Amino acid sequence: MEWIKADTLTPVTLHVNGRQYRTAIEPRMLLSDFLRQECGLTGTHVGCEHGVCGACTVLVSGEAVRSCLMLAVSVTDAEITTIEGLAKHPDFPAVYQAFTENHALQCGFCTPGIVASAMAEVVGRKKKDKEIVDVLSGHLCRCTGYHGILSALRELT
Amino acid sequence: MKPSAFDYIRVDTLDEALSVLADSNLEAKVLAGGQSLLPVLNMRLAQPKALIDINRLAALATLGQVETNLTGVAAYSPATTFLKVGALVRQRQLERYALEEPRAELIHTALTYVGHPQTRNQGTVGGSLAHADPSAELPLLFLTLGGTAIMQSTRGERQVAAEQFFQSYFTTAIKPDEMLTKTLWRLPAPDEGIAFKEYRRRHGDFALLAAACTMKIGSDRTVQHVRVGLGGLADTPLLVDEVRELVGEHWAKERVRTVAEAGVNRLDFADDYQASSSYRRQLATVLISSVLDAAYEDATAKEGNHGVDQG
Repeated sequence: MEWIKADTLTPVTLHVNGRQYRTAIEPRMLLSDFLRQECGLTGTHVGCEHGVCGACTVLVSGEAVRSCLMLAVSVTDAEITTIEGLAKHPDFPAVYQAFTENHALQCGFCTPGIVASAMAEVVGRKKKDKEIVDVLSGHLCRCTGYHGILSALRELT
Repeated sequence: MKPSAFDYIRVDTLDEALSVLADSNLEAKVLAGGQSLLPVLNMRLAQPKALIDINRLAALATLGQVETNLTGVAAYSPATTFLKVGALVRQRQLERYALEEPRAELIHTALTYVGHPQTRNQGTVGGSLAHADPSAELPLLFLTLGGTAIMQSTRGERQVAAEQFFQSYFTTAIKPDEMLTKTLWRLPAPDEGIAFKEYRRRHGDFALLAAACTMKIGSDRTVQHVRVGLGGLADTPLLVDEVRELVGEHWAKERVRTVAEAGVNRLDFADDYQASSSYRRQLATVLISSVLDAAYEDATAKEGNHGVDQG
């Protein structure tokens, strides 16, 4: 059993994008804040902070999850991949191209989260249209109306 | 939108978790997937003094089928197949299992309505039941299928039937010193008809109303057993008892509508920002009739398939 007191700063090590980040944090720090403030990885965007908008989606042990709904202290034994890490993935150029050609973004605030979900759930996998919509339904985009993003995701399956 | 400060306790064994829960001064909350708890903490709707992180209790992340004759579900005797789901099983894990298991089709269908893939990856089955949002799909399904919740504390193990598990808004039979460790879900027989319908503004939102149904029909096409659950209306999901009037009867669409209306007439409907009471009343009648019709159709189709297999 490991017991971390409320207001104390405790050293933790998180594995992010193949690197180790060791810093002292409070147990209440969200993973999204850890990535942005402790790691300086500001590609992970924070929108609603209660799991609705999907902007903060990252990969934890390969699965797309909301980083605002996880505590940083709770994922010390997982491999975390943010948009900065995904951008170095061999699949990324195709995603970049598909998003560009299909006008799948405008302001881009929601895009890092959508790309994280796409690379975990859609890219290179045989997905039914309904499943692609289901994955995209986990993200709010206030600019595009989703059709461009859907076209891009359909090209990537 | 940041949680208030709390002690973080990561346990390595169930006994450790139970001993921390037994300390009533601590008022500790159990953290599993956190997909309901973290929003509540972020918005400071709750400010617990301590969180017990149970994510290392790998023994609670398993699922499998068991044949048993549970007390309290005599309607399904003699032996009924249950799906035993550890409290830490992720919703996505159950969804993938249910996709490959024909008898868990209803569970699979309902799970595709739960949040989004991104929240189901992390959210747990036990967490959803313990959170007991009255419009959530898993509590509705647990009640409709029937089953048992198993809780543990330093005092021992306790079982509560699905019908007694949900008590009010976000309130269950779990005592403060107890932890939900597993749940048993009745799996419908291969020839049983099933249906799930939900109405909501946007996919992934909480249901305005949702209904689920299981139904068994005899070789003479009369209804032998039927159960309909309704979620999103009251402080807990509820069973529509009136549908039992259909047992022993042949199928007649007008009759189904009458029974659905009788069920709805017993219930209270309130106005809220999402819908007026008269709208909800209408929607409930439509959903109850339509799950009944769909489950009957499904049972008829399955009976047909069964016949072909035998031939």
